[in-house]
Amino acid sequence: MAKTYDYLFKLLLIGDSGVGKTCILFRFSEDAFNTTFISTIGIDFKIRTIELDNKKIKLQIWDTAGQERFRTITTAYYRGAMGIMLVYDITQEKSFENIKNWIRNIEENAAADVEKMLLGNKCELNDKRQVSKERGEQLAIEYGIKFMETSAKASINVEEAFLTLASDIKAKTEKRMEANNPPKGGHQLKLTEIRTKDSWLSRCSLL
Amino acid sequence: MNESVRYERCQQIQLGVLTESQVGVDLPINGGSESELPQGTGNILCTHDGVLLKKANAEHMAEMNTSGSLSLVEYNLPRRRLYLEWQPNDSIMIADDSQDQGDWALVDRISGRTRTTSECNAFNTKPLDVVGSNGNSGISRNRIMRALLDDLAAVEVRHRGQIIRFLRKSDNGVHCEFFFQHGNADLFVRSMRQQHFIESSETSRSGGGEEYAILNTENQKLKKTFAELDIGEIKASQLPRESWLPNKLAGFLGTIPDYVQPSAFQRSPKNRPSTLIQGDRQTSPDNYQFIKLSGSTNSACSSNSQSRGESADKSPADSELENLNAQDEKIVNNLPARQNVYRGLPLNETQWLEFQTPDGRILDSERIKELIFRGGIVPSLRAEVWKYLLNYYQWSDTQLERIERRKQKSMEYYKMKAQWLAMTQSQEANFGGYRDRKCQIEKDVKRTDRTQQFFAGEDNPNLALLQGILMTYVMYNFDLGYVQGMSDLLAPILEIQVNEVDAFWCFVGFMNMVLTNFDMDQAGMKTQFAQLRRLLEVANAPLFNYMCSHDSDNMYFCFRWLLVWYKREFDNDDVLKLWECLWTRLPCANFHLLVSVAILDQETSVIIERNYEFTDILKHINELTGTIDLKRTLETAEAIYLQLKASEALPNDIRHIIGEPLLPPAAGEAPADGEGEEPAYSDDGFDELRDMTPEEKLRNQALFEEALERSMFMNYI
Repeated sequence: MAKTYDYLFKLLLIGDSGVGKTCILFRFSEDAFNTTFISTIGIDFKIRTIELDNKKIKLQIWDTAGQERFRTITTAYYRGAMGIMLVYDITQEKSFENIKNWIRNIEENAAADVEKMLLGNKCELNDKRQVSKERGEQLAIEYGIKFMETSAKASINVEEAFLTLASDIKAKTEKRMEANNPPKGGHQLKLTEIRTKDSWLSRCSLL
Repeated sequence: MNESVRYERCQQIQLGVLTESQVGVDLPINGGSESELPQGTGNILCTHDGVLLKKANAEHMAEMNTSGSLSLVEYNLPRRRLYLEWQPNDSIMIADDSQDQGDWALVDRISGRTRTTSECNAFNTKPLDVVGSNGNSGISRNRIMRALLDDLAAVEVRHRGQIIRFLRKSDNGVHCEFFFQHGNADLFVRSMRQQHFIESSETSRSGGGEEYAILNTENQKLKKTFAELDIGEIKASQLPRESWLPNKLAGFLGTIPDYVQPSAFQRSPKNRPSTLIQGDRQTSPDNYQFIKLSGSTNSACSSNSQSRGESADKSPADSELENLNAQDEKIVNNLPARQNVYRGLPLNETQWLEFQTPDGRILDSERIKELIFRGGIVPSLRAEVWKYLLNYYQWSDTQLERIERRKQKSMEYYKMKAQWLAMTQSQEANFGGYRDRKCQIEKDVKRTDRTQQFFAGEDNPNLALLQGILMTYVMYNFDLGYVQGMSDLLAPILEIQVNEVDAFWCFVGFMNMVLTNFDMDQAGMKTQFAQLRRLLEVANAPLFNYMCSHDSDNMYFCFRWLLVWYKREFDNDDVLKLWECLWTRLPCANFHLLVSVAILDQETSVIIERNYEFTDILKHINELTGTIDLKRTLETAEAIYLQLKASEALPNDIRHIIGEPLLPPAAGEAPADGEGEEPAYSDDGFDELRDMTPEEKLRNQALFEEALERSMFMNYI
């Protein structure tokens, strides 16, 4: 069977309701922006395959409902995630303040070593800005994660953000693979064989 | 042997077409070896119902995805030949029911929908001679797919025993492929094995399935003789316990409540004489029988003795598997046949007027609800009739009482509206709970049904109405406040009612039906997942088993369906039709869950055939949006309900879910507890208003008017 990808990474978009998670995902997966917004109910995901260092990486990106009420359902999806995009809206102070709640949520429900990234979305709305870029950067430094300001509408940094996150996961994955399974000449690595308990690695398969 | 004779008869009756005079001479032949036509009487060695033809020669295109029976047939003239034969069930169906045949046949062909065995049973009322007699029938439809076994090289069992495919000898390509609706292709394979038509192949295919080599006629004889001499050989060649049988499934099957009483379920008597049903019920899976090879003294092929556990040479694993399969079959067949259900015409104005007394009371509300359940309501009547369905108006109220009620309710509404309008900025700043609710409403109003004319465009005043009603609902039920999804529930109601007050009270009525959907801990949703899971287990065992073995039986993928009652799955017009149907609360409690079962019923073959995992199922379900046929879904849901209702041995927990009278608790069966209780209409305060004394009313009225005036005044300066 033809190999369609080398890695499958499961990513998750979280953040307050209305910060633009679905729009970011739509921009990344379809390179489009829809002005007829609709709130996300439940959970959905989209797929896009990218290429990094000649490796095909299939990204399965999960989009969740933002309202706190639905966290009991959405946290069920944290477990298998290898990367998480934390999204706030630069025109909504509250959504920025809530990032720390979301981080706590991740710590409680996701794998400890999950890759995280902070996104300040709607950066095209500079005149309505409530959260400065510096504050975003500062918060990211605090948590030791990467940060970008994005605009799904103006197509700013969305592609870059996902590529960065995917690249970091890939680096981590390959490092882990090498440590666990030193390469043998011509032998195909099978990552699923080195699954460690409760690790995000166990979700990654090399096909 | 009496038994074998009986099975033979039974088989011929069941298949209908394969009577002795018809099978054999001058049949239209296709597939397999064309050079030599089978002659004389065919002897059915084994047969299996509920088998869909998935792949075959192009000439069988019309039969693709049709349910039928797969058989091994032996012909002895001019010499012994074994044929694999498949023939569609609906060839039998079309004969009888001229009224609906076109509809169903057409629907099935287009969508490739899997017709379940029970449906087939429902249709199979009268056999039809589809095999053109003497081969010169005007309709030269070769409805039987037939292949000479000697032309085939191998059998592959794939997809966890759901699919078997036969490979050609000539080029090892796929000759034909069948889908076993009950996931028990292994039974068919096993019988072929036991009769030494095939043997386990050494080569393992990449697809993870199992492969068996088809033995040629000479080898079959050899194996058979060998088997007779050496019992150990039979043991060694027994089908190993299938690796695909997941532990979960095994565990589940092991815990099936023993509520299935064979006598309670009768197949269509026209299919099989009931005396035969009684006779073989205990010994053979319902739709699977063996016929002893005629003229043979070989006893190894009689599975009847095996399934009774009398055979000494059966391995424990094998016997366990057999039990599991038997149980599986029991579940599949435990409901009576599914009936045809048809939607009717919407309640119209003439009918509506007929139900009204001169003073404006509505007579026979149950009859009206039945009409609405069956056909909906004409658009012009919706605004009025919805008020009754949503418990805003009372059926027994006179025209005057309704006017009074509406006045009261208007006052009550504006009183609550004034409360949030009067909220000062500093009050709001110190009132986080209120602020959060307000903020969420503002976010969602902007993105609710904006493609609908009624809410489209910038600065559409109807958005303010939507927001106002949701804000007022926050004041009406602050504990619940606002949860995402509620704006979806309100928007169609507002669009129909237009009037703010009417829309609010209708919305309250709807919310009372679905309150638990919005529980903080999601307990209501979890309960519904559990209930839906149980209903699916009883109504669609193959899919349920599949879901269990693919970690998908949590039913999470139905979250959106249940949270907003399919609002996102249908276009607006269908949503209105569906909701008014569900609001009647007919024909049973939790009918909205049966709608899920009905949609899943239509997706069963897709999910199983494509071997979907949880994520695939979720994706598939999410992408069904806009593609679901509402009429068919409602008809299927009702048909499933009727199946459940007609099932005498339905377990009490299912009865509880659909509101059927419980059976007296049998030994070992605990009465259902409060779990899954239907959210009843809560007291929405109609009575409280009546209980106020006139003085209280006056005082309240004055206070309210003052508050309202002042709040409005402040609002506009």
